[in-house]
Amino acid sequence: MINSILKINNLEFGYKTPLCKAVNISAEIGDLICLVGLNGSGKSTFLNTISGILKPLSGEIFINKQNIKNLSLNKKSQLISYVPTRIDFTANLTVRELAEMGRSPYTNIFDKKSKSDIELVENILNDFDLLKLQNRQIWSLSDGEKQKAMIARALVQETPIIVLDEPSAFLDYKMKSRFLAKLKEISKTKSLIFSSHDIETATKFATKIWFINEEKLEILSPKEFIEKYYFTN
Amino acid sequence: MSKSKLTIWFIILSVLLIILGVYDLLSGSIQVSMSDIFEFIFSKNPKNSQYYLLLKEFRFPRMSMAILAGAGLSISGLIMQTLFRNPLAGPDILGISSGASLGVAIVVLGGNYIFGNSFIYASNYLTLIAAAIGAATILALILTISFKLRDILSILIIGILLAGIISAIVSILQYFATNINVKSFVVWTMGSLTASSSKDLTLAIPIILSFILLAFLLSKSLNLMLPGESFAKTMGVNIKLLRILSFSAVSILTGVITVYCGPIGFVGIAVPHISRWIFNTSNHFVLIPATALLGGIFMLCGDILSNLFTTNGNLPINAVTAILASPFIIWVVFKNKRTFV
Repeated sequence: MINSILKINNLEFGYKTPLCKAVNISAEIGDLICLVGLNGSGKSTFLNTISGILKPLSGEIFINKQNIKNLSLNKKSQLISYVPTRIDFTANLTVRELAEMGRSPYTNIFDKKSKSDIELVENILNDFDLLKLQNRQIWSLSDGEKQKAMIARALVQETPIIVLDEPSAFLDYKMKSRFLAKLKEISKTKSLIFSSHDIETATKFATKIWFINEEKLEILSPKEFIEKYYFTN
Repeated sequence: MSKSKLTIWFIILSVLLIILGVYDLLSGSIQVSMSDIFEFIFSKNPKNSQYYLLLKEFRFPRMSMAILAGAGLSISGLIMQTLFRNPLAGPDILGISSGASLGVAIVVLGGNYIFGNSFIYASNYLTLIAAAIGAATILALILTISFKLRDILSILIIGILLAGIISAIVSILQYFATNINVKSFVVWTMGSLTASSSKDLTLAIPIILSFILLAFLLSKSLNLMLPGESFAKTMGVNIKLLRILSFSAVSILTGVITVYCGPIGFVGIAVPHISRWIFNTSNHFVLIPATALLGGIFMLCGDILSNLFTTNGNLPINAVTAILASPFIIWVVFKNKRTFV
């Protein structure tokens, strides 16, 4: 499609040697895409490549019709946000401070936040039930709370695309489905791409499956994926 | 920490810095009274020109150098700890101060081979130039390496190894040098705040202040580095540029301070921990000014102590800071049961 928010042409990604070749895909607003693949198939590498942490080996990535090669880092961070699997740091950083970092692509060198920035942060924190935790240090939170804080931050960033690398890896089964329901809700106005090993839960919520299989990326509907691969293995 | 509490802390620290600064002007082997100091600060035609000269040429440069060196080294340490995400990183870790030492060692210890057998180390300016060249060389090397290597830990390892190689070379130079030159070198490595004159200050003040300002301007990017480098990258931070700017700031600050005061250890590691502990934050917009103030206070305490125990001259500042700083680090680590970056 021409107006796709994310369009990938002939992408080859990996570290020096390609993990996957000839990737041609696109994502739309409203998509909740689950990226699946075996260990080492290149899920994280792929997500790192679209979010700009890694350079593609070849091919082009367009966000909002702009080639990301020609975008400044700051502009890119206004279009795509990235939520890592796990945040491990010992710094003194409160939930509030982390969420406010989401505004940094829009603030000046002194990180001055406007009234509307503050309002947005507070609304999103409230939406995630994080207001009562806002002054807690990140390191003191549980894994589920940490993950929520990271996603709240990604929403504060107000990007049309959000990439999440195994967001539910450290959540218990109850948290997991609540969490995916939340992602589903967010994806109404955004394009969400997340990787997961938990295929059963993921296929229940995702609108599309991107499957990395033998150096190729296949696009399937959740139903097709389950019929074609999941039960035959 | 609330805004009002933050302001109060900054006022307390500033007042403490001023009090210690004035006390530092009073301390030394020659007695100076408060009225001399007021005269020095406010009067245009000083009556007692002897004291005026003492204050202008010795005490004031010593006090300013203490504040600048403390602030500069502490901020360097803070930047290193954030960039390397390692609470034990410090300005000496990249090998910059060893680079300066090597420059000085070559001139002071190898002087016999360069300038002939009768060479006895004397020139202060020669040391300055040699230390600056040494620090700059290592800086250039580290910057080149940081272009080639992506991983920040590899840079840290190479920095430590470089420092090791340099200290080995210095030992070899010491082995072959004459006794008198070895003594001059060892005295230099003990550090001194008294070597700088008011003329030196006109060069040191603008350099150190402008790189402290640069460090402050990097605060936003440094904050974004706290959750990790890939995080920072997706938040729009240009990692390469940040590395170049912060390594330059650290190297130039450390280099200039080492040139004037000799290698001063521990301050750079300890003071950032003290300021994180007081302000309970990792926000660089707070930490950088706080660390600068605390660094200045710390060095003034060191200088005052080094003058306290001897009536003739002062103790080597490097020894005093080590004794002062290490218990602080141990205390902070024990109190928190965890280390911060």
